[in-house]
Amino acid sequence: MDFEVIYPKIKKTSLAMLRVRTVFGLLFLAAAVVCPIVNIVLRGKAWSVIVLWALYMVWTLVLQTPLVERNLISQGVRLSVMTAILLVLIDRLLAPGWAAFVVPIVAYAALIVLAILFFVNVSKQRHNVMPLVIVTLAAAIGSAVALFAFSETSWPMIVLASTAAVLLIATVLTLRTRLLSEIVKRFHLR
Amino acid sequence: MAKKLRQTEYSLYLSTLPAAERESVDSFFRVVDRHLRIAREWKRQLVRDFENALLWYAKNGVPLDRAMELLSPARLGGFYSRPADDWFPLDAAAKVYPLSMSHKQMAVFRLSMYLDSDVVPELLQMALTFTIKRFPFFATTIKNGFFWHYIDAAKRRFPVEPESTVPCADINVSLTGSKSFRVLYFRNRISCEFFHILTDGTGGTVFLKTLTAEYLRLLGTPVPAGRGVLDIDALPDAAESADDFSKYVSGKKTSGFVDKPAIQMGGKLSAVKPCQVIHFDMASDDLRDAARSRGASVTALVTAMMFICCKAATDRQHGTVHIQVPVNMRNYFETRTLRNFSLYANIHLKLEEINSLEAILPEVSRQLAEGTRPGKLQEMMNGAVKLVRSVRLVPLFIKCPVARIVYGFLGDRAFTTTLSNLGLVDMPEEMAAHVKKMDFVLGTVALSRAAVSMVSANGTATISVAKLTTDPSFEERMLVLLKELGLDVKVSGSELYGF
Repeated sequence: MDFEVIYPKIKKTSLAMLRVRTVFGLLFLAAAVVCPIVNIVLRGKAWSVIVLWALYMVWTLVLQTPLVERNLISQGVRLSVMTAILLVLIDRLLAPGWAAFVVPIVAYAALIVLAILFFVNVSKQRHNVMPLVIVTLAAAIGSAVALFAFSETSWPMIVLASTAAVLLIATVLTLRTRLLSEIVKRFHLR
Repeated sequence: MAKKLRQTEYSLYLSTLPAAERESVDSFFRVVDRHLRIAREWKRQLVRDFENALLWYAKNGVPLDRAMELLSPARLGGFYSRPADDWFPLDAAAKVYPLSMSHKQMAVFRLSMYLDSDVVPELLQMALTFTIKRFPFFATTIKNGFFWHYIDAAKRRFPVEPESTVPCADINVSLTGSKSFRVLYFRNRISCEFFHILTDGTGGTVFLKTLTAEYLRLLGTPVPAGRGVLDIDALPDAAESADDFSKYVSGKKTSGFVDKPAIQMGGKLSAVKPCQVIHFDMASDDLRDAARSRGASVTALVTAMMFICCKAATDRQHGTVHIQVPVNMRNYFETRTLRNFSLYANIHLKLEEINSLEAILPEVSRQLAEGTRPGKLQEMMNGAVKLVRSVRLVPLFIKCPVARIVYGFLGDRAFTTTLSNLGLVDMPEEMAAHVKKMDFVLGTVALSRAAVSMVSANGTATISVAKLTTDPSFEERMLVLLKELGLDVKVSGSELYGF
C-alpha cells in the first residue's frame, strides 16, 4: 500500500532500557532460583535470603524504577529503608550482634541527607514531603519503642530518636496547614 | 548554542529600537515579571518565550505595539503567580490507568489539527502558556495516595515540542511536576497527546480547539469562544473538572466488565508501540451517505468493516471477534465535564458469521444500538462506580499489581480491537477557515494489533489505525472496503518504527 509519509523521521527508538531490563530480569530470575537451591543443598546459614533481598533492591531501585513519584526524596527513602532491612538481615542471618548499633547510625545519616534535600528547596519539595514524614515518624516511633523495650540504651538510638523528633517538628512548623492538606490528599478515598 | 544565538538576536533587536520603544518593552517585561511567581528555572524560560515571540513578530513586520497587545501579560491571569495548592481525585474511569500502567504500557491518545500553514513554534508556545490556565486539571502531575492516585497541581512552564518520537509515546509522569500531556508540532500539524487520566477524546478536543484558537489569535485571526472553544480569560468552571460518573449513578442494577476472551489478529507483536500509524482520509459527507444508504450509522458501518478486516488479519477459523466501541456519555447525560466521561459497548461476531459487509451490518447495528441503550449504559456506569467504591479501602500497593494483572491479561484479551469515533467536530467558522482536517490516534494496548479511531472535521473524515504488528492485512483490507463503498480515499501515515 503506497501512502504519503506525514510523520518526521524519529530519533532511533530507544529499546536499550527495555533490553537491559529483560536481560537483567532473566539473570536475576536465574540467581533467585539457583541461590536458594544451592543454599538448601549445602545447608548452613541462610545467605540466600540476603541475596534475594539484594536482587530485589537493585531491581526496584535501578531497573524497575517507580512510574509515579520518582524523586530524590522518595528514592532516598526507599534506599534507606531497604538498606536498613538488608543490614538487619545480615545481622540476623550471618553475623549477629551489631545491627542495633549500626542501623540507627545509617538511618540517622539518611534522615540528615533527606532533610537537607527537603529544606534546601521547600517550595518544590513540599509536594514530595509525605515519604519523608512517614519515614521520620517511623524512625522516631521505632527508636523510642526500642529505647523502652531494651534495657541497654545505645547512643545511636537516642540520637536517631531525637533527630527524627526535631525533623518532624521542623517539617510541621515549616509546612503548617499545607502538611495537613498533603495528608488529606494522600489519604483521600474519592 | 541555539539559545545563546537567539538571545544575541533578541539583544540585537532591542538595540535597534528607539529609546521610547525600548522603555515600553522594559515596562512590558516588568508586568510579565509580576505575573510570574514560579520556580526560577521556569520563570527564566517563560520570559524567554515572550522574547522569542516578540522577535518573531518583529521579523514578520508586526509593529511592536501590536505585538505587545497580542502578547499581553494579562492573559497569563493569576495562574503563574499563585502557588500550586489545588488537587483533583481521579474520575471513576481514570482510576484504572495509573493502576495498570507499566514500563511497557501507558494509555495515551493523540489529537491533531492540520492548519493551512506551517506552525510557528514561538507562537504555539505562547498559546499554550496562555491557554493552560483555563484547564487547571491539565496543569497537574500524578501522585500516589495511600488508597488512590490523584492529580496534584503543578505550576510550571508547559513546553511545546517538535515531534521526535513515535505517536502516543509514553509520557514520563514520574518526576516532580511532570506533565501528563504533551503538545507537539510538525509542519502544519499541532498535536496534543494525553495520558488518559486527564481526559477523554471529547475533553481533549476542547483543549486542542481552544489552544488552536489562541494560536490563531496570536497570528492575528481572532476566534470567538463557543462551539467547543473555551474563553481562556473566563474563570475555570468546577463543573468542567467534575467526576460525573458518581453524579449519575442511580439504581442498583449493574453490569460487569468481564467478557470471554476474544480472538486476536495474527502477526508478531512489535517492541515499539505503535510500530506504524495509517490514516485514511475521505469526504465525511460521502462516508455518511454510504452509511445511510445501507440504513446504518457511520460507526456501525466502520465497525462492520473492521470485523471483515479482523478476519482478514488472522489465520484462525473459529472464535469470536470482539470490537470495543467507546461511547460518549455526554450524549446521554447532561454534563459539562471535560474529564473522562465515556464507557464502551462490546460488539461480538463469530468468525464463521463474518462474510460480507451487507450480511453483518444489520447485526452490528443491532448490537451497537443495544450496547448504547441508556439503560445498559446506566448499568455499566453503576457497575464501574460500584467497583471503584468496593475497593476504595484497599491500599494502592495491593491494588496496583492486581490491577496490572487483571487489566493486562483479562482486559486486553477480552477484545480484538477498538473503534473510537469522536464524530463530527464542530468549530467556529473563523477557525474552520484555517483548519484542513483533524486526526485522532489511539495508543496501542498489550495484544490488540490494530487500534482504530476516527474523527470528522471540516468536511474530512479521517480513520486512523495504530498498528502493533508489521502484518499489513488489516489496513489493506480496510482500504479495499472503503474503495468498494465508492469513496475517494487518500492514505497517509508513518514509516515503520523500530525496523
